[in-house]
Order: sequence, then C-alpha cells, then structure tokens
Amino acid sequence: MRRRLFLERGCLLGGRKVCRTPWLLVMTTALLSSGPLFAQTIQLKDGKTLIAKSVRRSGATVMATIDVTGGGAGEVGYPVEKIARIDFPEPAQLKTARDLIAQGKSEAAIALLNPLLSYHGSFREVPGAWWSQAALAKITALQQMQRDNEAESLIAELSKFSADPDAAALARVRLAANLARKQQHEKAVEICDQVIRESTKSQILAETWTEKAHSLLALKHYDAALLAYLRVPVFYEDQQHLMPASLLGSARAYARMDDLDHAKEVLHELLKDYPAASETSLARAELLKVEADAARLRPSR
Amino acid sequence: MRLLLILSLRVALALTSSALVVRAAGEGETEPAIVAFYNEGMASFQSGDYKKAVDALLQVIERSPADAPIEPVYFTLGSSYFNLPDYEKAISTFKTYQTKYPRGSRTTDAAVAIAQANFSLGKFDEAAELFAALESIPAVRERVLLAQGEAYKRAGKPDKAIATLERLVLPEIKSRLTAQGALTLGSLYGQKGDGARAISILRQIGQKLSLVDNVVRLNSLAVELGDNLFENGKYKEAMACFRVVRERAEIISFQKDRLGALQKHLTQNLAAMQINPGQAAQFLSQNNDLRIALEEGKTLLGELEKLPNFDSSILFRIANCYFLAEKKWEALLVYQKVLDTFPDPAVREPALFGQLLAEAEVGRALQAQAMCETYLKEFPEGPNAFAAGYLSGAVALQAADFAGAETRLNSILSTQPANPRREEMRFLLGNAKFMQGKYEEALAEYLRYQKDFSKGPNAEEAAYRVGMAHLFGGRIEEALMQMNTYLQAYPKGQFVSDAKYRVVVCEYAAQSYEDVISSCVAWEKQYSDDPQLGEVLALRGDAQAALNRLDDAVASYTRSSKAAATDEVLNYALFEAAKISQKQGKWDQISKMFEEFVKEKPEHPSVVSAVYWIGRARVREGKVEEAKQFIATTVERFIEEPKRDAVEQLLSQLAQLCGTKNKIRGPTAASGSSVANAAPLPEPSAELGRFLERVVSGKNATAQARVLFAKAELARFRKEPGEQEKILREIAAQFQPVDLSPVILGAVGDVLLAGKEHEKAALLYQQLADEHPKSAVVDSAYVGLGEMALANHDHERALKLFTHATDKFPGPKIKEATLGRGKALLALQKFDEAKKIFEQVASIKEWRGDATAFSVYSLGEIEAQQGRWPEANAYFQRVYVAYQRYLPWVAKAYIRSAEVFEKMGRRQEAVNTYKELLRNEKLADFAEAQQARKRLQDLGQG
Repeated sequence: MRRRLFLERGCLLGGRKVCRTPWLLVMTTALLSSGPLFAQTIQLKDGKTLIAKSVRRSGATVMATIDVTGGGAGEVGYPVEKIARIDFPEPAQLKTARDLIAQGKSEAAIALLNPLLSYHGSFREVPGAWWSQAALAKITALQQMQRDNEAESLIAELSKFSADPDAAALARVRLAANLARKQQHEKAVEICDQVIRESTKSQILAETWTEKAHSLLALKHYDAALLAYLRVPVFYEDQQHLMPASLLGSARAYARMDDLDHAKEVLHELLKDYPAASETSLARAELLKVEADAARLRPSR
Repeated sequence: MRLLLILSLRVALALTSSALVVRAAGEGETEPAIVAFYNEGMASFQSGDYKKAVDALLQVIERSPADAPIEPVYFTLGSSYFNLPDYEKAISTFKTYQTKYPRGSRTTDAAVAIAQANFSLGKFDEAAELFAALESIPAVRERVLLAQGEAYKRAGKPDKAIATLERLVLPEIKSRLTAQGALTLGSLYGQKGDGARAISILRQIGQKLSLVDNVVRLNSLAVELGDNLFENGKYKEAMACFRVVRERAEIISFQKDRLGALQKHLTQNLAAMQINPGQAAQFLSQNNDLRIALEEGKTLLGELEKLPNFDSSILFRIANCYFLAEKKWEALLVYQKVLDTFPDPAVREPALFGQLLAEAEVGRALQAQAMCETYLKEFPEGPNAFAAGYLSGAVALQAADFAGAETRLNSILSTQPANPRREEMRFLLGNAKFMQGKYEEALAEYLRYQKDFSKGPNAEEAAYRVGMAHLFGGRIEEALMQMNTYLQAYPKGQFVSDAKYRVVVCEYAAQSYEDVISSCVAWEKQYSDDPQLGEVLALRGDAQAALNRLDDAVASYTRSSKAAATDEVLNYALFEAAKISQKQGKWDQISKMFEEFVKEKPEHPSVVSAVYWIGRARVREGKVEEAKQFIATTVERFIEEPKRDAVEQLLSQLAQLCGTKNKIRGPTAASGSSVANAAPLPEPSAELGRFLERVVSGKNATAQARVLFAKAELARFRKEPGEQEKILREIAAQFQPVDLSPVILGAVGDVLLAGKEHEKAALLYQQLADEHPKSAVVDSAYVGLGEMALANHDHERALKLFTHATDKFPGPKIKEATLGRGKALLALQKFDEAKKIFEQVASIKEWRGDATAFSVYSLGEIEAQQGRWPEANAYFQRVYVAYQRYLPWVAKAYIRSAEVFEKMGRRQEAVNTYKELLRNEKLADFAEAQQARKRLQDLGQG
C-alpha cells in the first residue's frame, strides 16, 4: 500500500502522468522520507473537509494531492489562512525517538527528529502538524546532553511559532528544567506553578509537577518535593514515562527526610518495575547510599 | 429478553413475503380462510398482540394438512408463546418445529429460544446445557456463551460460569457482547475473592471503553469489587478497582467525543459521496447505522448527565486505601484533592479528618496542628471533633513542641468538657509540662490526674511520674518517698525496675555512696537482662569514683559501656573510664579498653574517637610510630565518609604527631630507650605527606579535601596562620560544599567569613546546617550565619540563629553563640536580656579572656545606651584596668570612658583618660589613639 500510494504521488500531477520513477528508487525514497505516507484530512475554515494523499508547503499555500473525479490525482493549493487544521498521521519516528530518549540515547533520537522537524516545520503554524511534538522531544534530548543553549533557542522558537497551546505549555516546562540546571530553582518553581494553574491536561501536569519536584528537592524542601513527585503515581498513573523519575525523586526525598525504609522500598520498586529506564544506574547508587546510611544509623546493640 | 426481541424481529422479517405458505396450504380447506388466519396471525404478532397471533396461527396449523410447508408459522407461534410469555408452550412449539423441520432455516434460532425459555422458567441448569450445545455455531457463539455464563451464575455454579465466560472474553475483549460478558466475569471473580483476576479484567474493560454499552455498570462493578476488597483489608487491590471507575466528567467527555467521532465519520462519508457518487449506495447503509448509533449515544449522554456526582466518594475511597496501605503521603495528596474540589460539608468533614490523621502520621506536626484547628473551626460539633481536639495536643507533644502541646491541651480541656479522651489529655498535659522542665506544674497535673482519674489507664504511670517530677525538681526526699509509694502500690508495675534505679539515684544525690553500690548490686541481681543495666553500672561507677575506688569505678564503667543500650550511656561510661585511667596514668588500660570497643563495634560512630584515645595512649607509651600507623589506618578506612566528624580529630592528631615530635617523641624513661639512640627525624610536612598519600590514594573528593585540612592543621601546630588560611582557602576553591565534612565546612566557612566573603561562606554554612544537623559542630553554621546577619544589620535573624546555636545545637562554638546572642539583643535594645547574657559570659571561668573583656565592655555599652553614665563608666574602667591583655577592648574602653566623663560634664577626667590611653605604648597603632589625640585638640589640650 505504501509503495502504491507513493508511486501515485510521484507519477501523477495535475491529473496526468509527468514522470516514471523506477520502483527501486521510489522505495528508497519512501524509507528515507520523513513526510507522511498516509492520507491527511484537511479541514478548511469554511467547514469543508477533504482527504489529501500528500501535502507540501509552497509559500503561503499548502499544496494538497487529492483524487480527482474520473481517476488519478491532482495537486490543489489552499491558502494557509483558510485552513483550520490538517490531521497528519502520527509519524512513527516520533515514538521511536521518544523511546530512544527514555533509554538515554539522545544523539540517535536527534538524528531521527531532525528530518521530522524539517518536514513538519513547514506547517508549524498549522494545527495538526507534528512539529511542536518533535521539537519538544528534541528539546528533551538536547537537555539530556546538556546542550542547554540549543535547547533554549528551540524552546523560544516553539513558544513563538507553535499552533499548539499544550506544546507551548510544555516548552515552558522545559525552560524551567533549563533554569533548574543553572541552579535557578526559585524561578523554575515559579514557571511550573504558572503552568499548573493554567493547564488541565494530565500529560502537561505530570511533567510540570515532576519538574517542580526536582527544583523543590534541590531547594531542600523535601516534604514539598515528595508530595510533588508523588502526584505522578497518584494522579497521573497513565504517564508511565515519568514514573522512573518520580520514583527516584521520591526515594531521594524520603532519604533526605531520614525515612530510609521508604526510600529503599521505592528504589527497589523502580529497579524491579523499570529495569530499562535511564534512572536505574542512579537508583542503584542511591540505594547503596541509603543502605550505608541505614547501617550507620542502626542502633549499636 | 433482549435475545428474544431480536429473534422476533428476524421472524417478522422472514414472514413478510411468505405467500409461499399460502400456496402450500392443504387442498381440503378453502385457501382464503387459511390466508385470512395467516395474515391475522402475522399482523397481530407484528403489532405485539401475541394472544391473538397464537389463536390465528393455531387455526392455520389446524386447517393445514400435516405435511403442509408451514415452517414459519410454527416458528412464529413459538415466538408468540415466548413473548406472551408462556414458556412451556413456547418450548413445546419450538420442539415441534425442530421435529417437523430438522433442516429448517430457523433451527438454530429455535434451539436458542428453547434454551432462553428454560432460562426464563428458572431452569438454569437445563438452559446452560442447551446453550452449551450451541457454542460451536459461530453465528451465535458469543450470544450463547454470554447466556450460558449467566445461566450457570444463576444456577449457583460460579466456577462453571467463570469457565464459560472466560471462553467468551479471553484473550481479549473485542465486541459489545464480550464486554458485557467481561463485566459479569469480573463480578464473579470478585465474589470468588480472586482480586487479581477481577482487577485484570476491570482494567481490560477500562481499555475498551468504547465497547461498553453502559459505563455506569462498569463503575458499579468496580466500586462493588473495590469495597469488598477494602473490607477484606486488600487495600492495594481495592484501590486498583476504584481507579477503574471513570469520573463523571470523564464519562461525559468520553461520550461526547464518541458522538463527535460518529458525527465526523458521517460527515466524511457525506464528503466522499460527493466525490464518488457511484459508491453512494455503500455509504447509505453505513450512514444509516451511524445515525442510529448517534441517536442511542445521545440518549445515553442525557442519562449520564442526570447522574449524581460520585467522584468525591471514589476519591475518598482511594485516599482511605492509601492511608490504610501505609502510604500516608499519597493519602495526603488525595485528601487534599477532595478538599480542594468538593466544598460539600458531607465530603469535607471526613476528608479533613483523614488529612489531619495523615499529616500526623507522616510527622508534619505543624500541618497536622493547623488541620486540627481548621477542623475544629469548621466542625466544632463534627463527629471527629473530640479526636481532632485530642490530636491537636498529642501531635504537638509527639513533635517535641511541648509548649504548643501545653497550650492546646489546656485549650481543649477547657472547651471540650465532654471529650472522652479527657483523662489521657490531662496526663499528656503533665508530660508536656514535665518535658519543658516545669516540674512543679507537671507535678500538679499528675496529682490532679490521680485525684480525677484514680482508676484511669495512666494511673500507674502518673504515680511513677509524681516521683520523677520530685526527682527532677530536686526534691530528693519527696522523690524517694514517692518512688517507694509507687513500688508498694505497683510491685509488679511496668516501671518497677526504673523506679528502683531512681531510688538509687536519690541515694547518690544524698551522697550515700556505699548504699548506692549495694543497691546497684541488688538491682543487677534482680534485673540482669534489663536494658537499663548500663545506666545502673555507670551509676555504680560514679559512686565508686566518688569514694576514690578508681579501679572499681573503671571496671564498672567498662561493664557499663558493654551493657549500654544507648549511645549516650555507652559514650559516657567509656569516656569516664578513660578519664580515670588517664588520671591514673594507666595508658595501657585505656588502650586495651578502646581496642576492645573498636573490635566489638567496628561500625559504631564513636570508633574514630576511640582511635584518637588509642593513639594518645600509644604515644604516652612511647609507641609514636605505631600510633601514627594506627591512626593513619583508621583514617584510611573512614576518610571518604563526610559524616564521620572525628576523622578530622584524628587528622589533627596525626598532624600534631608529625609536627611536634621533639616534644612528644618517645622513648619514656619506662621504656628503657634513650633520645640519643633515636633515628634522625623526618621533615614534618614530608612525613605527614607520606601518610596522607597512602590513605588518600584513589579516594573521593571528601578524602582529598581532608588531606588539605590535615596540612592546614600541621600549619596551625607550627604556628603558621598564613599558611593555614591559604590551605583552607584552597579547599574552598577546589571543592564543592557537598564534598566537605562538617568540621571542614565550619573551618573553611570561618576563614571566608573573616575575609568578608559572605556569599561563599554562607554556602558552606548552609550545607553544614542542612546536611549535617546531627554533627557535633553544626553550631558553627548557625554562629557563622548569625555573624553575617549581624553584619547585615538583620538583628532579628541574627538573634534567631544564635539562639538556635545555643539552645538546639550547643557545641564547640557555644561561647561565640552566646556572645552573638548578647550582641543581637544589644543591637535590638533588649537591654535586660542582653545584660543577663553578658553577665553570664563574664562569669564563666572557662571562657575567661577576650570574651570576658568584650562582655564587660558590652555591659558598659548597655548602661551607656540607657544614659546611666556612672554605671557605664564603671564597666569601661574595669576593662582597661582588669583586662589589659585584650588591647582592642582596652582601647575602645578608654575612648568610651572618656566620652562618658564628657557626658557627665567631668572634662578634666575625660582629658586624663584620653591622655592615659596615649601613654599606653601598646595602643599607639590603634585607631582609638588617633581619635584620642583629635579629641584632646578639640578640648584645647593638644
């Protein structure tokens, strides 16, 4: 199906054949392409909906390849300001990149995300484009690699151009993370509080609470940090990707409050339930520290 | 019933064009009559008049020949009986149908109907067997499995029902019927107590919500299962069930999204029809289904919107699960969410109470107290008001906020006279006062308790505590009397061994040392395994020491250290024994005792201190090299642990041994060697460096910083303050605060503070205060931060910090902390309190020196600031007369004394004082000398 669609897109323009692309070449291009291979639904502001086989940006116009009456396909242009939304299928690379980030493989994730950003970047102000999500993933990867300046520049771009208010909110959370890395924890907490006040989405809230918890822990507000970390398992259980960070953070908060039993329990839970998470090495080190502290505090008799 | 309606509809559709029946009618009957009965029967069936349908269809059968092909008539007749309902006749008619038409088009439907009729007659076993026989027919498999499961369930055969429904539902929920079966299956798992499978199936249903016709049923099942599990103490499993329950808003939103999706699908179909009119027919049928689904969905949405809000009760259940599953912090969050979201008092009251319990359980005393107050304010007559009242005091007591506990308990005792915990509160009030050292008031409370609640559950402890209050209040005779009274009243009481120990303490206080020794022996015989044995042996050692039986005392202390149940007793006994042995010069004894201790308790926090003593003993025995090696080995073991305070003590000792060997290097006369035979002495830094290199190799940053600290200590011993400061600054530059041990944090912080590098110093002090609150030197942090606050004129904060250092963490900087308090109080013009502090400092013999001079000077300032000139002058004069060694204060005192004379109008005495200052050559370089000269010029005396 993928091959057929792509052949049609490549070989038909304006309802007539304009080229013949060898099959092998088309397949290679398809594998490398970051653009969608499935249909997109374009919703126009006047209420009309149309199915496009592919879309591309040409200046202020979105060019859509659509089936034409009587067979074949043709390319039709729609001014961007007349488009309410384009429903692109979710790019598979995005999920792969997110998985790579979760495993700490940021470099590989960025390599996947860059072509995606390039394609969807041309639709970034159009609702439905995946540019914001790809940008967010890249920001996370950059932060993992401590490339804070590049991350901040992408955060600024995202805040300015994204058509997705949720993505803009998450960009603010990433900014808070950057501030935290620079030890500006009070500012980070302030930004997180704003996002928490304004958002109702569980994904955003879970991420924001986690980020706030990191800063509260750094500020040595251990009980507040613990309560912030625990919001993920208590209220946002579905945000599984945040569980390892939440567990590690809550274990640290418990340990700082001398509740070593709880700290150990949570670290064991993290190591058992999330063995592939990037937090496991830190959790092992923390566990050793906690066990040493427990041995030291044990009564002498 | 739903099953039958479907059957009926299918039958009706099948018969609409059954002219064939008429054509096959018997030849002996007139065709029009049969046709009329047939039409009447079918019309009646379709209009729901089943009685009339039966009559007419029976006429058709009666009037038709036996072999007439009237298969649909029999089927419709069976259906009519079923719908009447007359299940017996329905069964018999469907059976006739099966016999007459074994290859008929409705044989499967007839079999299903027979099974369903049996089910309706309550013949569940028969129904189940009949449904089972149909399971292999794909077209009806899901329906009959669902019905079969239900039949077994009704027949009281849950295992068979479960097995049947598992065949329907597993491995996945893929249709509306399987979702329906899954709900029943979940309920059955719950009834069988199989929580894990029930939860698993609930979760599966939750993930396929779009297939669930009635989400409310899913919610009900989840709540029912959760409640059962909760009742059985399976809180985690119960919580998993409650989590499946969808919030009202979520269900409504889900339903709206579903409607939106249906609408979108319809719209897309319409758009596609415009593009491909040729495929319109295909879309027409699909669009019809979509329109029906939309209508049904809208009806369900209307019903959902009418449902009462159940979210608060679910959240409350989840909070309780967390609480009882020992996850109090999580419970706190959920109770808080209930409070934030639902203002309804019926929800708020239990949530508030749950939250205050959770706050108390996690040890957040302040928050718990605040919650108690909120509860009592909002629900003074609430069902938990008495408990909240009691907890407000108990929580404060538990958090060691004894004053707060006293206030609250007093308040509750007066405002809640009917509180059933009054007895306990009275007792706790006594304890709160006792813990504040208000022994008189505590005694009064215990006595009142005895009067009001003579048979109360705490009566025995109150009697014991009466004795304790006397003892701690210094009334030894009364204490002795009360303890004996207690022992008589409760000869087998829970405090008997302690009361007997206290009696011995009274004897010790009365200096009856011989009695103490014999009482201790008797006590030990009676309670040889009691954890208090260590204390009793230490007391025996004290009495023996008082009688100068030093060997006996050392033996008792040594035994005490081995029997001690707490570190406090252990340290006391060990180091008392060491002190006596040191007095006796028995260094081998000290060495042996500490070596045994280190061997027995190698991980004990006092090990490093013990090694210090062993090192000292070895040196005194002339084994200097052995001491160095021994210390270095111990340092090597603990050097990476920042919390081991005593490592610095050992490093200092090592530095001292390397740096001052001429004074201490052996051999002593007793050893028989001589100084002349000693090997050439190595250069101190090189020697220390060699030791340090060995102990620090491959170690962490804490160890590296400690090496520098040891070098700084060597510089200190060699009286090279510049070098010492340079090295300490090097530590500040090279290491993060997190890597430094408490002693180093304090020492480096002090150097930076002296250099007015406040920001850097603050980081170190803060690290010390936050991360090492149990360190013996944590007071350095509060003193340092206090000095900074003073320098910033934040006198209130300074007072708070210094008070923290003196009251909560008294340590090696107690003198500086006390002086700091005095300075802050003076700056705040709290003259009386400041005066008390400075008088205290001036009176402490051990602190005599610069601190005394400064205190006397400050006492003068206190008087001067209140305009009491003669009193002020007396203090200033005392400084320059009695404390001449402390030149900075002498210089200041001259100036202030002369100024006071001027204030008093005694110009000549002022002039004399200025001149006296200038005659003192040691003060020539002080700024005050310049000041005196200028003033003399102004006074015409220059």
